Amino acid sequence: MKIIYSLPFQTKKIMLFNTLFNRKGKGGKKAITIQEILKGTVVGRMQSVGYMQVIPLLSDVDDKRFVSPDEIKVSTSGYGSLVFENTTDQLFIVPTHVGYIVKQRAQDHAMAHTALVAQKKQKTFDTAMCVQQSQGGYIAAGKHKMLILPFSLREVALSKRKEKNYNKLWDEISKFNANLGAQAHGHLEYFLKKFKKELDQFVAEFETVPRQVGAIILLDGEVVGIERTPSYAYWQSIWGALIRECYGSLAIEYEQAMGENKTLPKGRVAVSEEVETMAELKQALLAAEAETEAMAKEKVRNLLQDKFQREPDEKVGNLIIETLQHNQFCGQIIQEEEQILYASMIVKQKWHKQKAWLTAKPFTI
Amino acid sequence: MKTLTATQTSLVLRQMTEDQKRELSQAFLSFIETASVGTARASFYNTQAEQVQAIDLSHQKLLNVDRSIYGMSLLLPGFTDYTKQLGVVKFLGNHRMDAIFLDESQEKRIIQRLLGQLSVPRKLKLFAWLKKEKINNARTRKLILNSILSEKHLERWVSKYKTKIATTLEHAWGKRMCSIIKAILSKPASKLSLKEKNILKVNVLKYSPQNYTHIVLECVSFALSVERVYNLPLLKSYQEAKSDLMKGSKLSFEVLEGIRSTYHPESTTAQVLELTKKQLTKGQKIAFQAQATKAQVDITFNPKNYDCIRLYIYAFKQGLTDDITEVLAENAAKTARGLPLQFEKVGILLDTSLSMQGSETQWMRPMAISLAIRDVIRAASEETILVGCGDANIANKTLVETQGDTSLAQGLLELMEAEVDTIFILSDGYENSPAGRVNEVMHLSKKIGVKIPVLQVTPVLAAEAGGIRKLSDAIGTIPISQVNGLSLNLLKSMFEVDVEQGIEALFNTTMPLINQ
Repeated sequence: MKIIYSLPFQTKKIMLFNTLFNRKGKGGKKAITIQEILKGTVVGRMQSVGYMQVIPLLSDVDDKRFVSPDEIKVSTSGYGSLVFENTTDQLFIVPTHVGYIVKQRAQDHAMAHTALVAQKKQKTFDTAMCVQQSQGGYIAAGKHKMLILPFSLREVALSKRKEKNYNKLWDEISKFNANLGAQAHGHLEYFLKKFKKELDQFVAEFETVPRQVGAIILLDGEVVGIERTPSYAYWQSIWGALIRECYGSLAIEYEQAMGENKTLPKGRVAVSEEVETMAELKQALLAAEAETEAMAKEKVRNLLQDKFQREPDEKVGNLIIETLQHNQFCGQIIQEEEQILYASMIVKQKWHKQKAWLTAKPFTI
Repeated sequence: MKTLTATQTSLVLRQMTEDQKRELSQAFLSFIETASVGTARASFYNTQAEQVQAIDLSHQKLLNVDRSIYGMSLLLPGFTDYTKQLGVVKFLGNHRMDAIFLDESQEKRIIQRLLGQLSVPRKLKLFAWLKKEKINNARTRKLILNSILSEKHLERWVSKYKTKIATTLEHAWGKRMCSIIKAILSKPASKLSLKEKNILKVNVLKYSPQNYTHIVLECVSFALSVERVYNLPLLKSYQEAKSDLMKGSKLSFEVLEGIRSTYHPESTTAQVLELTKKQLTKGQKIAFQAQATKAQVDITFNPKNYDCIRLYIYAFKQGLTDDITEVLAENAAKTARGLPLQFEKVGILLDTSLSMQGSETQWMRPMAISLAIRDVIRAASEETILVGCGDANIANKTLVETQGDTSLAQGLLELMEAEVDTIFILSDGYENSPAGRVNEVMHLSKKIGVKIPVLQVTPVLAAEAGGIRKLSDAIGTIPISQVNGLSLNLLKSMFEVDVEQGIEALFNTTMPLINQ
């Protein structure tokens, strides 16, 4: 105990946590794989429009203990402080990087991490971030339309999840805007306004399917995100925000980066033109769909055994929030004993940019 | 008044260059595409501003090409009220130049006919639109004052739309004259000077039927908030309901509800519903069914009073009854009889994906439109094969739920294999498993010699800003917001084949209406 008391507070907390929950310490924690994270789900038919592809994750488990995010009242109580009021009889999982752009004279805010709010409770998070630099005022309590931060801001936001500094994302937003030709300021709404039409299209193009609780998102044939939620209703309520602002923004960035040199999307299999009869055409269609499915599964299969380092962030009752790290992914999960209730993981920027090199085969002769 | 015959029309058209004819054809087709679906509301995919811009552009293009053809086109069946409103705004807001086919009196009759097809709220919305556009030339002022002051149900109008009517009258008279009239109406009739009586005569009574003088003056006084005792039953009821809610039973639901929320907050909406249930309009009866059931108020609802699209939306909300099923079948058969084409063996591919649910404000409308069109095509065909995407057992279902992704290619091939005469794809055009698959299959089927015509019928809530989303460049598209829009598309096809033939068909359809 003496040793523990002499250590910095944060380290002590983690050691105590790991002792309590029978885990290995920093650098030697019991790792988790994507296979474990996705346990209890199966993949549905892939949807593919342009460079974006979505593989639905389906489950027979519809955990109704959790309320949908659109049922929650949200407000700000100070700059950098988001307040969630859960008036329902269900638990609330605050989606990782959820944000609120409001039509009020108030500063728009977003969360830097996931969190839990108990039934009939109100909880304030002073680790939240302002995403509207030169606007003052607090958000009045209400059911506001949510977004999930654009993909390119999420990794940085996650790395700053413990910082209590309302302006911690301004520089990144400014760079993000500039990269896409929007005004280079810490105002997320500049991007949203500039690309409103394109973002709306993503919502229209990708549909949720029955029994869906999550999705694996691919861009031009490469996995860029894995999302899992506890229930059908939770997924329904969050999908629009995920595909619109988070992954939609990535698709916009990708298309802009390609410029005039646009190529056919990888992972989209065309129907063979070597057909002479209706029967052959039907066969060719089935073959194209089977090949598409096989390719998508292969992309996911390659990731299943990769091990993630886990860092515990919070424990509420039986539920544990952890932040995961891996050379390819970062993100957060919420679990109850061995059951994964929620996961939100994105590909790291560095990996995304250097994927050709990082996935290259070793030299052999 | 000159009335051109079809032969004369052909002569005029033959003087047009090929470029002019092409321009006319393009403008007409673009107009038809937005006019039959344009409602200037946000859709699942486009904002309200984009819709407004798209519709306005298509109107202006045809108006620029030829004012007469624009006017005649506005009289075609199946257009939305928004199209009719915009038509009136365009006519009144643009100076009349020489038009090839129509004289001034015919143009006036077109405006009156369009106005006559609008409901009271839509008329008032149109007048507000004219005010917003600052259109108040002599023709506009006359049209507004005639329309309001000669209305035989003016008492009901003013009790329901008091503020809107006051604003409209002020626009027609001008602010100064409006205050003068208000001041005059505040005095007892016996104390009016000759000059004041003359002002009322020229600005008010000139437009009203002779024996309606006292009604019109009392209604105008009410609209302008003149403080006096009102004797007309509705106006009296309005005045008294402010102190006693029970006295408002003659008023419409929304008027009494407004009075309740301001003067009687302790009373409930259910009480207002009970008090005014005899006054509910057909639209309100269907809209308030859920609320009435909850409040245990019995509102009689007769499905025969509603079109198929509304009945389907109602059925999705409240459930399908035998009565509704019967009316749906009757209406479909009636519409099918009016189609210029009948079919032998038709294939219908129904998109049952989630996006067919539509936006929050227009919930289930895309699917309701598709189901209504399905019924008409079935009724106009000897044999129909129906397949869906996602739901394999839709053939015998009246109501079809929306769910899942959009995968249409497989169903399309099934119908081609069944060797139907024509295939109708009822879809919003947003394919995602994967996007572009129908296009691939269409081109490959053509390559192997399949010649079955395929038409994409797209239910739209508003004119899509960039046109409707096509599943394939090898498929003809028909945007539909109302069931009778199907006939309109036949005219469209004629224009596509031959402009002269199309113009003649347009004349034959609309000239009798103008000269009635």
